[in-house]
Amino acid sequence: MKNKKIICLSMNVLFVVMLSFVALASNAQRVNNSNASRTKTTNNSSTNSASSDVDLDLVKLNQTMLYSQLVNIAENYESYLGKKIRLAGNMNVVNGGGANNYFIVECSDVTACCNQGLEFILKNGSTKIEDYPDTGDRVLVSGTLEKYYEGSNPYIHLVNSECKVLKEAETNKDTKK
Amino acid sequence: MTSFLETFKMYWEFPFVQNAFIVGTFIALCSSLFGVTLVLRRYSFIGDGLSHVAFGAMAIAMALSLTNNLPFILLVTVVCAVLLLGSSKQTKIKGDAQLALISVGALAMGYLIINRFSTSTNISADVCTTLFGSTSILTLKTKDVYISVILSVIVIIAFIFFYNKIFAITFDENFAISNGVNAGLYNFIISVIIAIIIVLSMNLVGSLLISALIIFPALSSMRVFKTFKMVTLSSAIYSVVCSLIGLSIAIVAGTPVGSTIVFIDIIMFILFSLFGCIIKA
Repeated sequence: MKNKKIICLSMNVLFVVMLSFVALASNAQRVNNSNASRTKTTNNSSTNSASSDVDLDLVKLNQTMLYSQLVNIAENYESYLGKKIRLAGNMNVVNGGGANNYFIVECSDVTACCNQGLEFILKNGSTKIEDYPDTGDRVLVSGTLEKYYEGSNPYIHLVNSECKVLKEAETNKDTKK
Repeated sequence: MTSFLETFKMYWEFPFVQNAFIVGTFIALCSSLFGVTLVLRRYSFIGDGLSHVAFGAMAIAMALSLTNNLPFILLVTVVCAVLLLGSSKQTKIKGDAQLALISVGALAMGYLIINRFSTSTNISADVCTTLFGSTSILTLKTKDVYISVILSVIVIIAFIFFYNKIFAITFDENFAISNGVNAGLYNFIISVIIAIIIVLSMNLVGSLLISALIIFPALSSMRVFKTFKMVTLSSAIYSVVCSLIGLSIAIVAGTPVGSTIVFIDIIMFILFSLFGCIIKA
């Protein structure tokens, strides 16, 4: 009787584990499909940009989700390459030495201790600081995710990006570029 | 409520949210099962102590630039768990003092090492993320998810198979020894499993709040149930339900995950205590 109980409980545990692995495996496939199909049909943002052609609209996410999604993009960027991503965050410029400037839209997690950013390059390919918003400005950025290399190290950034300075969280009346 | 469900449904489509729920469920289940044993053996705060040890181990792993720090953290935490839980009653430094010694020492050393030797550009973020786990469960890599699930399954299977021995050692170790149970071996197994649970739980609630995952389910269940089996079953269900509710609220409302789960634990503890009083009356 005792052995039967143990076997029964073990079978239940194994069943749950199998379900979990099936769910995990289906997630890997779902990254390529659901984000593209979902956000193309949603357009709840009050901003004025052309969001209907955006594959991944992160504007409507709360801070926790936005930070988590950006980390997910950084960790699993292969799944997001070629997708048009739109997000709002704080402008930051990082100098990589000499004239190398990296323009980043950043967001922090809800405890404000951790930042995650996404580099972007404007449509005209400019790398001049004066062509970009000021550090600390709240910006709305949309662009296509692309991989590039510096030496042998891969990095990701948004290319062909549009960038608008937001006066408040949901307005886009001031346009920088 | 409708907008909560709609927002949740929208967020549910993100793969990392689904992974968080899967891993969170397993972690909550594991921690609650052995939490009953720890509470009954007066080791409620060992989660806190071992999590500080894990933090210190993580700091050393970062300083050594280990690409995969989980095996190192697990090894150090297991060693400390064995020292704490399996130590002889003849030691000069007893239970809680031993725990405090190792706990604060590891935390201080860990922070010192991170400050001095960190390869990361954002030290406070690394520390804060590990201590509070505000979004750790939502930023797991796929490899971390698989490892967490496998380790959790091992813990659950171990609990099922060694249930009777764990029960015997928890309530009367001397009696168990006199009946031929190899208490030393099972204490070692319990120590290893608890170390695994602590390292996994850091992803869900962070180092500082791990004790909540261990203590609250057991204490709440003891308010209502009186047998070991029922307390254990109730703890498991309690822990999973509270973790899932806390995770859902944190995701939809944008609150820190660890704190939200503990908050739900507190509310449920109050409700269980009230229910226990009503039953007694």
